Amino acid sequence: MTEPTDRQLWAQVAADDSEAFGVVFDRHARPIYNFCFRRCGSWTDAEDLMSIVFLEAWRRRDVGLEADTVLPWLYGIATNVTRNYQRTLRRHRRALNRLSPDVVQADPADHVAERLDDEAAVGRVLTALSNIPSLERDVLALVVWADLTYQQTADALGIPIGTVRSRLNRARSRLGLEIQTNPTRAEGTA
Amino acid sequence: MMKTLTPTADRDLPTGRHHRRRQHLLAEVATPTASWQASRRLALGAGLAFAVLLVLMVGLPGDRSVAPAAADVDPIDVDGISYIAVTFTAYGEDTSAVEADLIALGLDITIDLVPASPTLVGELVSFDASQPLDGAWDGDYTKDGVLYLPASYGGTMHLRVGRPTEPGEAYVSAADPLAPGEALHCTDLIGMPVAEATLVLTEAGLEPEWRIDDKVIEAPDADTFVEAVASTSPTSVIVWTATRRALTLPDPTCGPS
Repeated sequence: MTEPTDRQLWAQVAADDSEAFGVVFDRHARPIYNFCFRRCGSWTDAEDLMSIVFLEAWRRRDVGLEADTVLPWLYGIATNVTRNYQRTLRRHRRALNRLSPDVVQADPADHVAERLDDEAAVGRVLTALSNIPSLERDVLALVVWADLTYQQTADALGIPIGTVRSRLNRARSRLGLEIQTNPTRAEGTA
Repeated sequence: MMKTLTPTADRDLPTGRHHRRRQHLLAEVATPTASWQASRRLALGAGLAFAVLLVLMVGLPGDRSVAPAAADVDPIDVDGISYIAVTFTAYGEDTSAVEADLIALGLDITIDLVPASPTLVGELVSFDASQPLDGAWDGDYTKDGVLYLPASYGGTMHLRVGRPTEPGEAYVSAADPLAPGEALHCTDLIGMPVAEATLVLTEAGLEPEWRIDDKVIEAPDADTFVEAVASTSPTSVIVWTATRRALTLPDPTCGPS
């Protein structure tokens, strides 16, 4: 049996089908979780932020899905949610208290030590990026971390594709480093 | 660069969490009026009540802990598109009066003022929007310290606008320090030997944090050059160094040297 596409699922979600929303969650929770982690530097906060992204997606479920995949749109929400994430977490604390799983004993399979190393490594990257304007940082994060095309990045942020290019160029020159993007992907369309 | 910016591999949620998050999420969205959407309304109501309380407190003698922000909020037309032009005249933490002016003009917008470098004061540094901005907003939202909000926008929006820093405060958003109006404009710092750069920074009252790539170093090697610079506060910058001198072009905004 063929799996439903995101577009088909989202049509069901728009009709208040929470089970279809669960399937969307199963498909895209992992990339959103990892994107949130790279934006905030904490695996624990990334879990909460991921939940907020999906809650916000549910709240906006009546938007028409233009593309075949919902993921770039979710990345756009994740960008907004993580931009000032501590404030976001404060604002959503009440919902998060209901959403957060109880504290459980860490499982050896969760690679706790490696996760701590991840947090230190991402913390260094975030420090380096903290000195470029947030609008440029958003573009950089979507292109490099979410691997979105320029067009998908433009759609996710609601800005023209030319603005994506110029912000990425400015970020590149501010960082004084070469930002490698796959030209085929970067110039492709959604 | 990819490796530097992406130092970690993707991971799964910790054991069992995906299922539990999913379970809680679906339970939450299945009862919208009782939980998620209701809590948003409650939070909004509580927020407005709190804002009113703050305004009252600001008005009380002896308690100036939350200063009010103020702005001129005017409907205008630019190239046939209707905007609400917002020009901040005071940069306090309490933006409720400005938000109330925007609500009165039909825009459901909240605003945070964040410490920013000189040329970003009054400028929009980031925003969250609940609906696409459908071309009325072309990506450059401010001009000469005036914020242009599309008057026809029907969603909710949260804006972060640059404000001057308080003493000792770091920037949340900073422009290129070599740009006109910023601390190091016309200093030709990029490509400069570090010894010379140190003098320039001292003269500008800036404390450098020296780096090679993403690594902080105690002091730069004498035979290295400035590769890039970024502002972190009115008194501090991060300076990246390299062994090769960067090729630079004269800055046309600086005139003949």
